[in-house]
Amino acid sequence: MTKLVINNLACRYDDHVVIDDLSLTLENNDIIALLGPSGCGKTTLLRTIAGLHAVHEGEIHLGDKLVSSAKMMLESEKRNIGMIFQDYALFPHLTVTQNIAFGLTKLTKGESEQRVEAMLKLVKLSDFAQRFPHEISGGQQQRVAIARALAYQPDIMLLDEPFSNIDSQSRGEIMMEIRQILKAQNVPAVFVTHSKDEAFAFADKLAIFNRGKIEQIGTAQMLYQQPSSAYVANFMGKANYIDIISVNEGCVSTQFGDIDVDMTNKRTNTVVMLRPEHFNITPDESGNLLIKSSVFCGSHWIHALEGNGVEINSGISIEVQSEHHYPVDARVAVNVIAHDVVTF
Amino acid sequence: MFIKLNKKWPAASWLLSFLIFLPLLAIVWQSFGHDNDVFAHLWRTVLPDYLLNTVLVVFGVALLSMLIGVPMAWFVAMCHFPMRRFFVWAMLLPLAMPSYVVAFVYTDLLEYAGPVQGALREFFGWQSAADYAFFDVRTIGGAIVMLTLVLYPYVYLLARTAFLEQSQTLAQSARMLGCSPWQSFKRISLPLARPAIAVAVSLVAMETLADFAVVHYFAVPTLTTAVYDTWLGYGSLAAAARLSALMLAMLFILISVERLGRSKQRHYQRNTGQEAIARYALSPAKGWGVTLFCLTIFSVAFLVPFVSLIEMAISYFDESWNDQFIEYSYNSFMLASTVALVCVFIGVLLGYFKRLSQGKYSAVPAKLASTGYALPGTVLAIGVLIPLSLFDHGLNNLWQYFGEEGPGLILSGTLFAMIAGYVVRFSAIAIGSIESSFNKVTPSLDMVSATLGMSPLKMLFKVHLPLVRKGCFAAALLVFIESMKELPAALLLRPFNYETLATYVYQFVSDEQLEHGALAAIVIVVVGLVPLIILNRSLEQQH
Repeated sequence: MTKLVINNLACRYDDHVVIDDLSLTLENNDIIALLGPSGCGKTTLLRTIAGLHAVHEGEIHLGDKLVSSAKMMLESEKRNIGMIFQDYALFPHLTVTQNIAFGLTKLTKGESEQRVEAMLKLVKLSDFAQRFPHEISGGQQQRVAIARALAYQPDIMLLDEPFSNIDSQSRGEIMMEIRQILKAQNVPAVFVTHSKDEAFAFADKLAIFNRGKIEQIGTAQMLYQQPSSAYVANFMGKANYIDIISVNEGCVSTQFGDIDVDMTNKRTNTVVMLRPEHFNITPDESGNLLIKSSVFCGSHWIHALEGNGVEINSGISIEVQSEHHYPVDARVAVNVIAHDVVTF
Repeated sequence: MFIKLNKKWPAASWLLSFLIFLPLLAIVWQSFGHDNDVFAHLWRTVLPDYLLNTVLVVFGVALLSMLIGVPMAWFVAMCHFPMRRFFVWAMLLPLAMPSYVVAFVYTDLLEYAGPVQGALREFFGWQSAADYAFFDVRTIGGAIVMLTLVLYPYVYLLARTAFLEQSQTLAQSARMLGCSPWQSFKRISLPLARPAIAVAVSLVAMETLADFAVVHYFAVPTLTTAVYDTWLGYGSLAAAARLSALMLAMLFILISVERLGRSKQRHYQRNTGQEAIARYALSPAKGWGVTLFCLTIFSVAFLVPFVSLIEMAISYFDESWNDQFIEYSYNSFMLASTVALVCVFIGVLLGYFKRLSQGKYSAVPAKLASTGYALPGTVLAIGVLIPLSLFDHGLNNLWQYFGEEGPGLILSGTLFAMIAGYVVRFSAIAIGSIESSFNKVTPSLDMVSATLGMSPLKMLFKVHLPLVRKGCFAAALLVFIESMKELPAALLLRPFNYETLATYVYQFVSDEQLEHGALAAIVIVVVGLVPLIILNRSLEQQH
C-alpha cells in the first residue's frame, strides 16, 4: 500500500532552490532514510511533508490524499503526522504523561488515560510518568517524543536527525528499540540523517540526497555495492577509482592489471570503482606498490598504498583492507578479488 | 583559584559591601525603635487607606501592563503586520519618559481648561462643566494609567524575548499533534512565556511600589508618599523606617515571585537559535488592526508627551534657557559622573574579589552590595539617613561633651548623603555588568598570567581591566543615566537649595508650570533614550 507519494517536487527559500524536481514513493511500513550532507535539502523535504514549508512545484500525497501542491497546502494539524525533532520538542511545562496525552483531545478521559498508559509501557517509561522533561535523560526524552507521536496514531512518522543528541554508546541500542517499536506499531517512517551508520541500522531503504535531488534510492546493500554515481559511492564508504586504459572483451585493462567486468552499454566509462575490501595484498619484494601508512581498525587494517613509479605511477595511491599488518615502506603486490565490478 | 589576593582586598570588599548593605539593616533596626506613637497614630487614622491605595495602584498597573504588553509582544514577535519593524523598538521608548512628565502632560491636556475639553465644549456647544461628564485624570485610576504607560515596556520586552526564545519546534510539534495556531499559542506559547511574564510583572509592580512622583502629584496617598511625609512632616525617622519596613515586606513577596519565575525560565527558554522564526501571516484587516493598536499605545505613551514637551520647550525657550538650567544640568552631570565612577570602582573591586577568592562565601559581598537596587528611592533615602544622622549626632554630642560647638551635620545634610544614597541604589547595576564581563574572560588567562609571574594587582591592570573595559564603560553609562533620572531619593537626601535636573523638573510639575522645565525634561528623556538604543542593539544582534 502506498503511504507517501511525492511527484516532481520543487521548493525554494526566497530565490534559493532547495529541492528540485524530486520524486519519492514510500510503501507499506517501510522506514526510509534521507541521507546526505547538511544543506542538501533533506530536512526541507521533511518539513514540506509535514506542512511546515510551502511547495513551489509538484505534489505531495499522504495515503490517497493530496496534501501539498503549488496551489494548496493542508495545515500541519490536519495531516495526521507524527514528527520527532532533533531537540525532541518536549513541552517543558508538562509532565511526561501530559506530554504524551497532548494530542489526545478528542478521546474521553478514560480512553486517553488508557492510551497514555499503553504508550508508557511501550517505551518503558511507566516509572517516569510524573517527571518533567528536564528531570529525565536524553534517551528517555527521545522515547517520550516517540510515545507522544505514536499516541496520536499518525499515518506516517517523520524523524529529523533524532539520534544526533544521544551519546554514541547508547545510540545503537536506542535506534534498535525505536525501530522495533515503529515496526510493532506498523507505522511507516521518513528519517533524516547525515550519518550512514544510523541509516544502515535504522532504515529499510536509503535515499541519497545531492543538492536538492535524490541521487539514488535502494537498500543499503544495493547502494553500497552498486552505486549509480561516484557521489553515492563516496557517501556509502571509501572508494578507490582506477583509470581504465583500454576496454577489452569482458574486461578492462588498468595499471593494476586486467579486471573482469562486462562493459556492454558502458563503453564510455573511464574509471573502475573498487572498495578497500576488493583487494588482496601479497608481500612481494619486487611488488609494484609501497605501504605508506597503516591504521589498525579492530578486525582489520587499512593500508594506504602508493605506486612505485615504475609499473604504477607514483602519484597513484589506493586504500586497501587487509587482515594482516604490513610495515610502512614494505613492497607489496595487490590483485582484485572477483566481484560485480562497478565502473563510472 | 590558586592565585592569592593581598589581605587588604577581601577586607575592603567585605567592608564596602557591608556599608552598602547598611541602609537595609538600619531600616529594620530603626523600625523597632521608639517613634513617639507616630506610627500607631498613622495606623489608627490614614494608614489603612494608604495601604489600600498602594495595593490598588500596584495591582492595577501590573494588570494593565500585562494586558497591553503581552499581546503586543506576541504580535511583534510572532506575526507579520504593517510597520512591525518600527514597533519592535518604538514600543520601548516610553521607558525613557519620566512618569511625572507624562502625568503632567495629560493633566494639562485633559483638564477643564485644556485643549481636549475645550474642543469638546466648542463642538457640542456645552457651556460649563455641569453640561457634561468628563473623567478626572488626577485620581487613582489616572495614576494607574500614567504609570502603566511608562512601565508596560518591561512586560513587552521580557515577553517578546520569551516568545522569541521559545524553541520553534515546540509550536510545530503542537501543530503536528492537531493544534490550530490559536490553540498552540494558548496551550504552549503562553504557558511557556508565563515565567518571563511573572518576572516582568513583578518588576513593574516593584517600580510602581517605588513610584513617588505620580502619586504625589495626583495626591493619591500611598506608602511612598507616607514615608516622605512622615520624614519631612513629622520628622520621625523611626515611623518612616516602619513604613519602609512595610514596603520591604511587600517587596520581598514581589522578589520571591520574580526569583521563582527566573528559576523556571531556565527550562522554558532554550531555543538553540538555529532556526529562523516563521511568523504568522495576518489578514490585512487584522494586520492593520494590530498596527492601529500599537500606534495608539505608542502615541499615547511617547509621541504625545514628547511632542508636548518639545512644543513647550520651544515656546518657552528664553525663560527656560537660564542660569538655573545650566547650573542644575551641571549639578546633575557632576553628581551622576561621581556616582558612576564610584560604582564602577566598587564593581571592579567586588568582581575581581569574587573571581580570585576561593572561599565558600566569596560571592556574598557582591550579592550584599546588590540589594540596594530593589529598594524604592524613598525607602533607601531613609535607610541612608539613619546611619548618617546617627554618626552626625554622635559626633556633635562628643564635641558638646568637650564643651565645644559641634561641626553640624557633616554627612547627612550634604552631598555626601546624596552620593552615598545613589551609590547604594545603583552599584547593583555596575556590579552586574562588570561581573558578567569578568565571566567572559576565560580562567586560563589568570593561570597563564600567574605562571608568567604576574601579581594579582598587576594582572588586574594588565589583563583584566583591558578585557572588561567595555563592561566598565557600559556600567558607568547605565549608572550615570539612572542617576540623572533618580527623583525620590534626591528629594529626600539633597542638601538645602541643591537641585538636580530631576528635582528641578519635578518642582515645575508640582507647581503646574512644566513649560519652564520642559527643556530640562527633554534632557532627561534624551539621556534615558541612550540605554534603550544600546539595549535594542544587543537584542537585534541576538535575534
